[in-house]
Amino acid sequence: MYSKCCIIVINQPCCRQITRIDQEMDKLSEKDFLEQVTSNQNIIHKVCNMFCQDEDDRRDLFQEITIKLWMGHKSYAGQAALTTWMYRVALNTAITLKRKKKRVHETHPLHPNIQISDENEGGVSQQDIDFLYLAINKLEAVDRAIILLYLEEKTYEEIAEIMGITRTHVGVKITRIKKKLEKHLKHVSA
Amino acid sequence: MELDDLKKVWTKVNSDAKHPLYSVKDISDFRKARSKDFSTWIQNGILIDLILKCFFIFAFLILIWLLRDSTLYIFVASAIILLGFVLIFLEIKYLKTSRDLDKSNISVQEGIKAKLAFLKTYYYRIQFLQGLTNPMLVAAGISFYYYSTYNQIVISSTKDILVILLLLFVSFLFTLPTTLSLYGYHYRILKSSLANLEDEVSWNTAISKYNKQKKCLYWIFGSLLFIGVLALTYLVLL
Repeated sequence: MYSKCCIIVINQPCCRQITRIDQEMDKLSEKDFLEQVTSNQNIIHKVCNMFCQDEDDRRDLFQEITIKLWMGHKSYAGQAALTTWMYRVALNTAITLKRKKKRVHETHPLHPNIQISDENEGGVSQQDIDFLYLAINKLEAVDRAIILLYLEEKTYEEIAEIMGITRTHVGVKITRIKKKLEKHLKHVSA
Repeated sequence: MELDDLKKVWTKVNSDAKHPLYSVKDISDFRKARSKDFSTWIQNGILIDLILKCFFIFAFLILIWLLRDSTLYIFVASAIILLGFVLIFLEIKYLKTSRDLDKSNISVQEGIKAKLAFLKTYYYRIQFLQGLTNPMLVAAGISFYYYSTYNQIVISSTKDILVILLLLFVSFLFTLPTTLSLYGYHYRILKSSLANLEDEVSWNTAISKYNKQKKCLYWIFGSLLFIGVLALTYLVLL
């Protein structure tokens, strides 16, 4: 028996919180599961914002991801960081969940309820956010998943582990997605 | 906006986004909710179909007892019951296979591949097995009708046999186009996602190919159903 602790750094909207998880615990208990998912819910929200365009869809996807996390929590044995496992389950669910066919193509940006109080606060304007979501909405599901992990500053190794592709392929994909985004950004800015 | 600004905007978006902050109780309630994933949908569909098949097997057992004087009917009903048991056995086997789709500790690529493999093979078999429940319902219904009206099964001519066979065929076809096309679009989406991950074909090509195949499928099933109904009408009016 060993009692080795690992430190997981969780990126919260306003602060950075450090949580210790004892690796002696093979599986997440119900209490631990609820605490961990609640404290890391930002991950699920980010995935929902990336894949869904309206509030109802986002709530449905959030619920579905929580169900999948709960269904798989017993198979989580600490072999990967908890956040990596959460990203894996969340992205797997978001990409493979059956969606209704969208008959009407949206022409306006649809994004989470974001209202910037101060225009150009931190060098970011409301228009920048609109452009970002217009460009992201044009990407395919897999590209959205990769760019989400890239924007979350995950390493190529982590992206490769979550997506199930090689590190080299991650590099190639990111370069291509950047080109696509650049093209879309130029198009929407024009 | 330049590409380099993306991360800055993304960080800003996620710090300002007013998404609801769920409590432990909310998360606890979410996990207990019913999943909308297609694996759960398929599992529920199989369970409902298993109950229906058991009900029809029971109905045929009652019919055998009611029509115990007719040796031919006992033979036919026994064959249907035997077929029902085989179908139930196969559906239980596929139900177990569908539960493998709920594995969570796999990569995105593995997840897409598992769902694609299931949709490509088992889904169509399951729909075929479930489609056979309709003829069982029609056969049981006809049998009960004959028993309540004539106290026996009266099939006096070849025309009667043809009408019954056509009814069984049409009832089998009735729900099949809907169930077959239900996940066709989802299959194409998953296929194009996997292709994108592995860099094969483009999304648009996959979607347009699907739309062409869907139209073709609707024409085939529509024509078959139309011919079946026409033949049935003709035989009834003859």
